Amino acid sequence: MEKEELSPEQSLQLINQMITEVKQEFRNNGFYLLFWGWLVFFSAIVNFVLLKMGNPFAYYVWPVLMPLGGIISTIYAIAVRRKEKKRAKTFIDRAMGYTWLAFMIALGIVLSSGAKLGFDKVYPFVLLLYGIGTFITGGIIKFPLLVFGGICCWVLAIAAFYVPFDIQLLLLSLALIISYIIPGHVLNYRNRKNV
Amino acid sequence: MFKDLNPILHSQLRLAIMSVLIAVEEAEFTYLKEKTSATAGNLSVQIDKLKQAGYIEVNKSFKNNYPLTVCKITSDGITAFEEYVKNLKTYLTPKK
Repeated sequence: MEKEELSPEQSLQLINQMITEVKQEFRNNGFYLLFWGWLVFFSAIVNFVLLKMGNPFAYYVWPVLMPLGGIISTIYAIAVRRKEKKRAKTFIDRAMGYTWLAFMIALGIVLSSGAKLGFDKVYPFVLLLYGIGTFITGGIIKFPLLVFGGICCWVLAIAAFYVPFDIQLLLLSLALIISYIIPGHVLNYRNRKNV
Repeated sequence: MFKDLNPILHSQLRLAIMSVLIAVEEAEFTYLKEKTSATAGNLSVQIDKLKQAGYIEVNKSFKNNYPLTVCKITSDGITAFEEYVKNLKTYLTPKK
């Protein structure tokens, strides 16, 4: 193989073939979108129903389910890492990592400052942050549906500033369907079709 | 008219390695092996040559008691690759 003479055409073809092969590998799977989409959607709906039933501890659904989600996500990430023996890191991996880390930090700041901010403004801000995360992700992985989902989050965020707390929960659920759950299912469907 | 092609890059396996590393930020040895379908022996020899040319960086460590080799392209490597592709083009569109 080493000794064979390469023609310029063969060289270009080889470069092309290698780059295409690498590109195909890094298709994103929709696990995190779907997992968090459904979990937060479920939490928001449970919170809304409990609130309507007059349960004073309705919001407890968050401090219970969110850390649980964090644990499951981490376990999933470790399991995937273990399974993949052959690994390469791309720019997309790093860009996504930083985007969602920034999202989590900002989310933590908003949630922990809830009392100061006023609890009626927490969800609109959360929606703004969701929008940033999905918008950037959509741009990075070239998935217009997510970009659109991000814009929807921002529109819903504007609306959320003007409505009472219980309606905000419904807007949040709607945002999750549009920007996480639907794109997540579409991504999964595409991956399955391509494999 | 024809520019000489860099002999370090003008070799099937080394070019394949460089093409993969241009597309990713860093890759493990096993990943390169799978993508280039080369034998481990041949692959290490060529990786070593690229490293000596200063085109790639090689990091050796351990993961779960297995040796882990991670390769990464250097800025010299990117320049050389770009130059190589530019020179290739002179062959494909010969000026009259």
